[in-house]
Amino acid sequence: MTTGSVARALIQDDEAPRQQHELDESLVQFIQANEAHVKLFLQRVCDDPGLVEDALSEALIVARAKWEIVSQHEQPLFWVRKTAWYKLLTLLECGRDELEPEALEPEPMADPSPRWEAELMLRQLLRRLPARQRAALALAADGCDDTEIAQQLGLARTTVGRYKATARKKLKELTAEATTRRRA
Amino acid sequence: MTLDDILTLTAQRVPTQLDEARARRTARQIDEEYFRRLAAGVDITSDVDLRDPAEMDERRRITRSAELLKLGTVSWQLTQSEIDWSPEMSRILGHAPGVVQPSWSRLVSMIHPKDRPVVRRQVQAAWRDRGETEVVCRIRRPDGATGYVHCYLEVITEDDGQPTGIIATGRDVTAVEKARQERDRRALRGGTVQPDLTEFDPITGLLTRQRFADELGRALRTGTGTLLVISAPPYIRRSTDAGSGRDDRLSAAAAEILRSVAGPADPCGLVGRHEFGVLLQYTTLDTARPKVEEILDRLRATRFLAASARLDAFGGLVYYDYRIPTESIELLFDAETAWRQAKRQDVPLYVLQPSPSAADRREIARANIRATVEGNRFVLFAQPLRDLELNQITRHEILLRVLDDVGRAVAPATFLELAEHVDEILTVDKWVINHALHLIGQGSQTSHYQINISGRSLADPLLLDHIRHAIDRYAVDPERLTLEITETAAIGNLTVARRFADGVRALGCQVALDDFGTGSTPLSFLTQLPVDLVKIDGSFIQNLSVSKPLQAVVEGLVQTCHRLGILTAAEYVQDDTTLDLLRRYGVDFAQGFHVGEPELIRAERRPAQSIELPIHPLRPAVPGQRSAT
Repeated sequence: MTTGSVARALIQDDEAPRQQHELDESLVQFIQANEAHVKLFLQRVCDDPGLVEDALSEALIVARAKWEIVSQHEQPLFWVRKTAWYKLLTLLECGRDELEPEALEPEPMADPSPRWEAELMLRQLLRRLPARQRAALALAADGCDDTEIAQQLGLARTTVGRYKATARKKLKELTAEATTRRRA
Repeated sequence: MTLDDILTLTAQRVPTQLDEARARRTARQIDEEYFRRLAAGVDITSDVDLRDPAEMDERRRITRSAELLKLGTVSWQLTQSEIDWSPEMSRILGHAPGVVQPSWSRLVSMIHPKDRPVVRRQVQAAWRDRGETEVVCRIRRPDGATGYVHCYLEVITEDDGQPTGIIATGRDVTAVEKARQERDRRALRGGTVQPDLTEFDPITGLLTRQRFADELGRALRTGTGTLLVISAPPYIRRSTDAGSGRDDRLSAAAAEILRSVAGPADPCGLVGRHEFGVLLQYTTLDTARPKVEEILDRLRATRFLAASARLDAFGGLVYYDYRIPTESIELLFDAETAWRQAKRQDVPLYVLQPSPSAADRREIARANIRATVEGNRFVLFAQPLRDLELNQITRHEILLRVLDDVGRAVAPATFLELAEHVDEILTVDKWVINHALHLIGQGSQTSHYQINISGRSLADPLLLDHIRHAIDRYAVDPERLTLEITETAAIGNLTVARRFADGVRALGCQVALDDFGTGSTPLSFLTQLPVDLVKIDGSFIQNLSVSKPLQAVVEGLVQTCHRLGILTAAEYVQDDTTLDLLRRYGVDFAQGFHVGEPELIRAERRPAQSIELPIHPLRPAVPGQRSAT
């Protein structure tokens, strides 16, 4: 398998050095438009910045290798995000026994008010959810609808709906807790 | 803020100026890395799916994503009667892919029977609620191995929202599950084991005699030092002073003085009634003396409580050396001999010097015991046992009390321990059998009586005859008699014990094991000896109502006994909660202060002159059972 893909890649290189440059440019544009989306998604689902960087670059390397195909997708972003998610899951699997890293707060944004506060709430909420639910909600927080979430995470649409309902319940608990803490 | 507010707010992302520069850098980096891997022959794309997720139907997408994550899937569609499973799921189930045809019946037969209901419930719940559920179940593989599998169960819908099937994504979680179970087990175990073995007397806060003897035993093997034993009974004992509450307070106050002078490095213990031990490690008789004298002076000088009670303190000091083999019980005995000497001479302290030889010590101890027996310095008490089913008193245990120097009946634990140690327990046991059966024979014999016999005495071949004769002579109904074997540790020879037990049962009496569960009472006794009753040791009962671990032990023990046809009794029952628990576990008899205190047995028909009981006031009944409370 390995030799096969290398061989294919080499042939591709020999055949089309000119085309290569063009592809790079559209990839750069893609990255410019979407890198932040993918990264933010990964940050929301994983508290370990090292793993986030690794998953992101792994996904982009595959995208670089198969950009010809990926760029033809209806939503190349979805594919990259999906691939990054799988890469992250694989990385998490390898490092399962390692200690949970300290949860990081989102960096303060230029306008600190409601948007930053929302992000903070979101991160707190996400940390209380199991991985699959967390990923689903992180995508929702990036503006995806249920079908889009289901497509990217390999879930059923009904599952996404269920996850959102759970998240709503958890958020209520969280808010109630925060209120009691403040009172106490 | 509601979830929708949060989602709306967080989705607004404005691209920044930085993005462009960063994108170029990222693109360059991944380009470099791509070519590096290409050159190194690293596989890049074999573990990704290049298909557009938007173009796949739901079932296909879930199956593909499971494959990528090395998970298995089982799917069922409304339109098909049978299920399908993926190659990976086939592997999880223990079949090479493609070897067996997927089918409902095969799948169900592989799920552990105990897990089938929960799997069925979760599948139904997912279908009913149109939402994801999770389940962990055990899978029995064809090779006989069992593994844990975790599944997400999802309902697949058409674009119009109509459900068309169910798909389960499964992963082998055997290792994870086992690790979780081990974590749970450790957590449970951490809560069920005593934090440490140190046992303190609840009233004085000093070490119990047993633990003090342990400390002493350790010191005896490792170095030299001295042991001080102080007898400190209340100076004047007016009849109105009677009551354990007052004694307790005196003991506690005395213990306080002891501790304050002795210091934290010297273990202090309550070795008997009003008797305290202080272990002064690495001292000699000379270097220990100032501290010893200070302790005695303080005890004698202090006026305890407002009622002006004073303590009469006599100390006995002995020296130990690891090169002279001595046991802790022997050293305690020496120190006790020494304070008795002090008391005889009416001096605060007597130093036993040199230490008596083993043979001398043994002789002194034996002589003491024989004198006690011959002088009839014993009395018998009876403590009721309640039948928990009938909820009435149906039995009594005959308890021995030793009369101390001033004629008070005291718990005989120390005395018996010594008698066991110097092999004089048989004399005591025979006295008890004679006197107890005599008293029982004189009564109406409406109860069932339990009499204690040391495991050590069983070795005497004539003991059985002794019992037979006593039964005949005093006309005791043998069926109303149970012989409780105490100090089961001293059962040296199982064959002899078995012969004794068989013999006792042939007489019509029953056999019980006392203090079961502590010391050396192996569970094998339950099957090797024809035991009728097991008396669960009081240490399991005292804190039963508040201790889950003790409840587990007692409940299990009672079940075991019942299946073997062995009755069970619990001693040290102190409250109703414990009684209720014991009843629930099916314990047959309960004993303890809450059931009834030991009372002096008095002859019913022919009073005193025929019974060799010394005359002394009936009250106070001494708290405590045969062994120390």
